[in-house]
Amino acid sequence: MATTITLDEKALSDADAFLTAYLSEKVPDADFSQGSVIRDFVITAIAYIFAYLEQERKTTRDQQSLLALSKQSDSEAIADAVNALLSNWFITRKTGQVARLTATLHFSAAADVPLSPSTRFFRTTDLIFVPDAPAAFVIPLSKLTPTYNANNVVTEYTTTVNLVAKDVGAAYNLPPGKFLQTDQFSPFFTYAENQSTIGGGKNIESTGDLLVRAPTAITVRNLINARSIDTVLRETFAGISRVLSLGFGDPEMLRDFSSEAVTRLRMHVGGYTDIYAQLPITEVVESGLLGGTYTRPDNTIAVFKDAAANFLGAPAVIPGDILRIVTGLPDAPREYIIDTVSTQTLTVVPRAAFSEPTDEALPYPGKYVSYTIGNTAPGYSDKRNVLALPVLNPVSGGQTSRVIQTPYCITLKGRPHYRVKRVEMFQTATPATIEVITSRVNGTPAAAQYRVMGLVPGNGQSAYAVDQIEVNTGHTGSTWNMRVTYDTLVGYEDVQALVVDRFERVLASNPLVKGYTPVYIQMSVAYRLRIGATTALDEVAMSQTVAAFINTFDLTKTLDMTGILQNVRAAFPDLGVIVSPTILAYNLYAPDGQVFAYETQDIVTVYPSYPSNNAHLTNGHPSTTSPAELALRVPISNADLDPTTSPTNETIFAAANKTLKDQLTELGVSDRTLIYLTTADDITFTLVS
Amino acid sequence: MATTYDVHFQIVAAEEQVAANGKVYSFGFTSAVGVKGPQKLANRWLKCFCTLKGSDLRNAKYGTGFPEIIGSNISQRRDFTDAMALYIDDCNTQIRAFDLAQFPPDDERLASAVLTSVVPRGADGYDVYVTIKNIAGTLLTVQVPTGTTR
Repeated sequence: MATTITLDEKALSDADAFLTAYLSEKVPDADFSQGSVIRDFVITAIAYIFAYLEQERKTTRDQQSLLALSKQSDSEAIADAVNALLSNWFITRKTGQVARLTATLHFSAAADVPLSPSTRFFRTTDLIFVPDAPAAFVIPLSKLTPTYNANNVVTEYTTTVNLVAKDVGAAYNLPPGKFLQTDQFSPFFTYAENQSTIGGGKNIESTGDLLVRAPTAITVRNLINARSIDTVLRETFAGISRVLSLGFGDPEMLRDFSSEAVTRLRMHVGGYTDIYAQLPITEVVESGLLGGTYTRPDNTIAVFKDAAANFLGAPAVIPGDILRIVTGLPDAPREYIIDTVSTQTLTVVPRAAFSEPTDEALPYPGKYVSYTIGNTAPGYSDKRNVLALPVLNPVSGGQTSRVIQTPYCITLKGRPHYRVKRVEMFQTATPATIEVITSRVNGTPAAAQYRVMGLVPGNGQSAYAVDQIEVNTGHTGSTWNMRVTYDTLVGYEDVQALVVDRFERVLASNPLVKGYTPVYIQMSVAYRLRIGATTALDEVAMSQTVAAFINTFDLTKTLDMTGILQNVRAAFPDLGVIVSPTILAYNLYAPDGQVFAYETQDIVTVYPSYPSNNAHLTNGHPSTTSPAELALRVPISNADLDPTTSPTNETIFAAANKTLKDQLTELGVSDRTLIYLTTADDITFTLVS
Repeated sequence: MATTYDVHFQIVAAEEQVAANGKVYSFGFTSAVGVKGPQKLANRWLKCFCTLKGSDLRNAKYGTGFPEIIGSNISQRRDFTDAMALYIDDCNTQIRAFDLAQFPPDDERLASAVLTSVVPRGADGYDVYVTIKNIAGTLLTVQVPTGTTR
């Protein structure tokens, strides 16, 4: 530990005064006054040494106290002392985190692209990124997308690759731009760029932050309560900046609901833990066959299929009927409540799903079960009665499965799905011909529209999220592919793996790590320069300032327009009049896939409450007439929620707000499960004269 | 103020200074001797006078320039006398400042210190005598260390 002892005049005077007083008391006959001989020999001569030892004693004493250390300015010695003290409680300093991005690579010709983890991409001369891969890999020719000019001539090819910073640090969080240079890896490579802001880079934890974290860190190291979960996750994962644990009795908890089918009675039964973790955000690309088969991310075996059946034929099978598996499952005979019905496929209520997927049994095509369907106990055979006869051709019998297949949809991998940035459609035979879909809607998508459907809202933004992306029915045939670019959380899988680890998890709990429900904010500010200002403002820097303010906002407080503008004014004093009204628009991406669109001129909230705030929903409607509007269970119109409309019916208004709040609660959304996000691209400043 | 004692020191005889590695003062006793009254004042005065200004880590202004002229080449007695007068005056100022701050008994408080005589010692050096008077009126003539001019 490099501790520097500094002696100042005061330390020497104090030492002098102490020695004088002490010796005067012990040897009252001696003259220790200024100028005396004895003073020179027994006080002045050792004052330096005494002051040094005293200072060292104080330093040593201070380094035994976190309170004293917290009052000193950060230095290597203080950092070492804090590390040493906190190590007594097994608390370690976070080592920072590397930034990640999805870079776009440009090529002059199409060819396989070999890359290795040592290939360096220089974003600046000092900030270097490398491919985020454990070993060398090749981006195949088929993954290169051609770019055409106006004459329909290919001008270049592009592809994306995930990069990771070579070192930890927030300095790597850079705005969109081109890379300066790269190591040689392809003769056709022209340049690389990041089209969105690089994120996720974090500095090594400061001593101040470590001391703030320490009180919650001194706790039991099991995943048993909010305090200990917070500690364990923050200690284990440097990227986590916020943790919220919800369980029994919390209104946001949806997974522990037990529903009684007949009376519709619902009650929390406990046993589940939802752990919301704030992690850095990165962009990923996922593609799949439209209408293809996908394994349910939550691994629920809730699908029952029979290729020879026609469940919609008379007597039609309806939701609520009972499917009784007679033989073929380990726990047969057993009954299941039917949830949805299509021609050859049923789904049963996921909470009481099948015990195993018989379609995965070997040899292919798996095992078949005998079943009955009906609504009359005890046999439930009044609608269907099918005996499994695998020797027939076609095979008779049904199969249980965890695979889902939905027309015009792909099912995303189980992980948090934040903002969808790009949806691209292409046919297998012509991958170069791409249809870009940009418009996200809540209802059935029309041409050039898509919607996101969260089939299990209780599992939203988690490894068990069953999220599908649907496009319009114009994409017929079985060769359409969808490529989706969206934001997700960096390192989410590792956190989830820890909480469900057999040796870490609480045995009586069903834990699930979730991402906070994202609310993306957009704002356009028209401004004038301050009178007397001589230089133009850096609008990109202003956007970055606002984005940083919003993304790091303390969510225990209320985000509002005033705070945002005050922050930017503080950083840019030459900012003059803000041309009103400045409207802040924000979208809540709900766990069921719906987008709740809001606007405000004061506080940012998902719970409008006139007249205390001006926030209001912009895509509600009494009856869903547009795919963009919400399909709320109880109709809400924009007029009901918009205090700017006149005349305002406060009764309707209050009722509409309550309906909206109830709807969000039904989806497990509350203020504490939200995260406000934005990018510099979403914040625009425009100078007006 | 109660009477307090300081440690006494005495001048080393000129012929013994070389053997004493150039020391001009010594405790000179088998055990420390406490002094009070005029001798204590004289000791304080001599210590300040013989301390080279700037050599005290805690007080750079403490002392006089007198130690610098020991061994120097002052050939004119008048020059030597003038220098001594300046140093004595400087020393008096400092001792009075101490006295004002600490207010010692009258017999330990400086009234004046004046150059009594400068006596050439053979072909080389001078014996310098200073008469120190305290507030109580006691006179004490002390010899400052030999100012060898080589």
